[in-house]
Amino acid sequence: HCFVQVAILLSRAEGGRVIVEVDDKVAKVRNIKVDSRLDSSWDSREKTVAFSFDYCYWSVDPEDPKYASQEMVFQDLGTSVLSGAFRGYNICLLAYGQTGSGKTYTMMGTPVSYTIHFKLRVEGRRIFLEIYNERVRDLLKQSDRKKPYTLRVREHPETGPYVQGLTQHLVTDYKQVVKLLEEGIAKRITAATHIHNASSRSHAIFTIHYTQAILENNLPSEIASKINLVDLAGSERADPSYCKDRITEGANINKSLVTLGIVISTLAQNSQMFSSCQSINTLTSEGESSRVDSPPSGGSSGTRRPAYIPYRDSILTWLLKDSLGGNSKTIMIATISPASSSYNETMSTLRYAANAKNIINKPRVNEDANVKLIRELREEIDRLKTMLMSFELRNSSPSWSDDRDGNLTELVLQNEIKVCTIYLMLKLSPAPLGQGIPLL
Amino acid sequence: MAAAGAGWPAVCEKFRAARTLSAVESLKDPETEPYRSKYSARALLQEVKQLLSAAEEGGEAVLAVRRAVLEYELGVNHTDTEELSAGEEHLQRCTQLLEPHRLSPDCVSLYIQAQNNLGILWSQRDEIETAQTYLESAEALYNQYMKEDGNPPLDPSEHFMAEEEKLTDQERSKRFEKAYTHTLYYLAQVYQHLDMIEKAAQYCHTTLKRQLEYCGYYPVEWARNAATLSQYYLSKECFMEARHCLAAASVIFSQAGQVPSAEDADETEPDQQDLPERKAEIARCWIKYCLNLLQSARKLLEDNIGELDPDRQLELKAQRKKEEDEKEKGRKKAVLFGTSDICDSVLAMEEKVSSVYPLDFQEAREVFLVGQNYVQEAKEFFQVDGYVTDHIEIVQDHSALFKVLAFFEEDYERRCKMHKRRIDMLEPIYADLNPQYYLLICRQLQCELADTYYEMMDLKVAIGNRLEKLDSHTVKKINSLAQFAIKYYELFLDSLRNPDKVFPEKLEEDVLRPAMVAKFHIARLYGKLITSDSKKQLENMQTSLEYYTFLVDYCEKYPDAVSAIETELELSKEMVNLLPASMERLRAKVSSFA
Repeated sequence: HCFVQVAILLSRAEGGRVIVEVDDKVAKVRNIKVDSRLDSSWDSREKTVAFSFDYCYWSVDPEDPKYASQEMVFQDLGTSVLSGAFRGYNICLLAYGQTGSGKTYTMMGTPVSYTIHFKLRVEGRRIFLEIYNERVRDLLKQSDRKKPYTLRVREHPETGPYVQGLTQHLVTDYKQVVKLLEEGIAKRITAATHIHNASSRSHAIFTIHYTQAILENNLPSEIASKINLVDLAGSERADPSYCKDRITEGANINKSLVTLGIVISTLAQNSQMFSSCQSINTLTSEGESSRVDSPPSGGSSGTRRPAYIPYRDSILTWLLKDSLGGNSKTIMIATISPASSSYNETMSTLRYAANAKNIINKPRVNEDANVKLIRELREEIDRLKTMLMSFELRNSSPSWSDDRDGNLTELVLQNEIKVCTIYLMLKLSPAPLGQGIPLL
Repeated sequence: MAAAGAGWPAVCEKFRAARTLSAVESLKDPETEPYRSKYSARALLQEVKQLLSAAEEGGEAVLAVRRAVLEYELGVNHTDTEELSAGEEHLQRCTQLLEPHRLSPDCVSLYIQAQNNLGILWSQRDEIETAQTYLESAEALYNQYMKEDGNPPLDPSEHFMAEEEKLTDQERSKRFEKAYTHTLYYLAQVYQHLDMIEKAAQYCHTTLKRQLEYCGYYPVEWARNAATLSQYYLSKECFMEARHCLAAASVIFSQAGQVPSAEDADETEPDQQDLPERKAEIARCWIKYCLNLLQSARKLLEDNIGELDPDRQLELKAQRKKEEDEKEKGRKKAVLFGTSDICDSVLAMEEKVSSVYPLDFQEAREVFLVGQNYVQEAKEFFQVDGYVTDHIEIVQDHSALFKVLAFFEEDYERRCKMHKRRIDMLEPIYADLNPQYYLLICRQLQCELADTYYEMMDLKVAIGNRLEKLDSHTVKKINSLAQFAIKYYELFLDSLRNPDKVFPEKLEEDVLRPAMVAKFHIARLYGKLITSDSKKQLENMQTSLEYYTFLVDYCEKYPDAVSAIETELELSKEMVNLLPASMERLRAKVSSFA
């Protein structure tokens, strides 16, 4: 199975002709740049671009025979989320897409309907936070607007990464969940510019911790798991000056010397043989293909990052690191609009989503050639072979079959075995994992 | 024209107001209207543009330059507010107006800044080569101007200033050099995007150097960047450059909190409360320096089974003697930071640790001790509570320092003690770690602990082999170390089980090799447990056989796994063939004794 499943959801066809079609698990986009020419026969570029995903949903027009209702989406994705969480997997659901393409609705709608089924069986603690410009704010706290982003992210050895001072809410019924969600969503930052009326420029994470009491071998035990619902900032390009501390997407040049450090750290990172693995940061910097496309090489030595890059993971990566890789399941829902007016955004969202499978941190093994081990094991094998062969020879030779000689044989063999046991303590060179800690 | 005399100060005032709005006020704009001040600034600039022809007093040439200044400001304003096409038009108009006079002191700075911004604009359109053209032409223009004229040129803002407000030569030079520093910085990014990594690093280095020369830096920020650049040099095994960056980082960092250096108003103030963290980060870069230097030296010195090769050692020592004389030359080639006063402190800092490969235990120990000091310093800030991953990585580095030092140690007993130190630091942090949140780190620690126990057992065996007779104490020790190694390999394998505690039918690609190697090592370990009890020995051989068989069966079932563990598989197959016969023989022996 794959760590990341990617679903594409289409909705809201406002703003021009429909240029996207869905064919089973493939989304096809008509290239309007080619299409707009009257005679494009001389144009060698493809007229449509196809992307395939784990799921594609057409949720534009309920009359359409292909129409996928929210219920269907919930059935496919929600069920797998919850059954995974129920068995103790950490779950991460990421929504990515252009503002207005319905991602917040999908994201925040899906789990809520499903958690109803669980409320009797599990106890849930919920937190809801917002990350804006690499600062964290509690969305479920009646905070004063003056000091909205002062929370620090930390890690605890037993309880994992957390945001210091974030409020937690014990929820007992569905209405409370919805109320909390609505409150939180209302507080999220949107920015009005000449280009976008309400562009969500922050990431929001809604976390549900839950524990189930179970009986294991007649002993009370519990399964704990964590569901992260992540609504990523709108995929429309944000003004680079808005993310001063981050390297901006694509081939962009960062303007201010404040970002020099990030440029240098990217350099240092890239030049390393074991450049640490992918980070989900690429989520925030849409499809920076150079990073997404080049998975780290297996490498030939070294057990961990050979160098230290003093720039932290983005807060998003930091908070989600326990939900990516290992015993976790990640689903990305990318929402797009099929309208021609959204062509550019649609393409970049799809490209990004197509690369999303590479976002998982994978541990890498140290490939130190075990020369010593191999050599010594070979020696042992040779020795065993010789020993066994001589044993066979002796067995087949009648002169060795009498009792006295037999005893002598045993004595010799006994010594041989001792020598072997000692000789065979082979030196193994290490094969630890290279952990991928991403740099955002 | 009557309005001109009275109007000009008003025009200048408007222009100044627009600049303030854009640079200062816009930082305070609410998140819901991020461009409010930029839009107001734009309106003001448009007004100035309208007024310009009427308020003119210096003829066509002056008018053209002033227009160009406005086009530039408007261009930047539009790109800042995500309106790239309009921005491009304005910037193009600016450069067209200036083209004939671009080498004059009136225009050169503005022209370079316009090209910088065109570079940025094209990069936003993902047309990095176009961006490169603009920026390289800005770089060339700077060089040409400095060669042909070299006097501090006018700052663009001076075209909207009264005579008495005009800037001093010193200020002009500072601003001009800053614009050029930006050109180099943007070029660094362009080269990076074009995968010209070495060139990019060189331009970053030059940017840092110029920041220092023109006092355009915050000590903490600068130190952090220099420290990061050192890590780039580490990956290239350029230890002299890496050390120079780190020494400069440490020296400049110590300036923090003292007199703040003259700063650019448009850049934000760094956070002073993060000083301990920044300091610890630089310490971590030093740790990596020491570690990499030692590890690279080991790579040079080791023979084909990973032990120190004395011939190689002699050879390298002789070679180093020869190179010592040329060292001074190399020194000059390196890109040195700073003015003479800083230089002395940097040199003093550099003398604390070598930048040449340590070739024997004494030399290795010196580097080790420096690294170990930085480990303590880094741990002061990155404590386990709150910084779990950071703390553990530092401890892992500490362990790695011991491991590489052990390579240089000839005495097996002392070598063994070094590995014991590793165990002592790794075991407690592993015990406190919840695998639900730190699965990958847990796995790393399990593997490292298992390998370290293995190494120790190996050393004990070597020590035992030198003895006349294997005493029971040593046997016990060997067995217990082997058992610990087995325990940690098993823990690692258990971590692969799914939440239902089932070992995966098919292993994920990323854990395939580690899992197979763990199985293989366990198989070896069972084959090595020393016992005088034949029954026990048969059991161990049986267990060993089962682990070898796992490898063989798995690869039969999933042939694509073979490539990951070819040699291990080949050996396992042999063992699967040989072990039953050996066991048979042992059994025969046991029964004959019975």
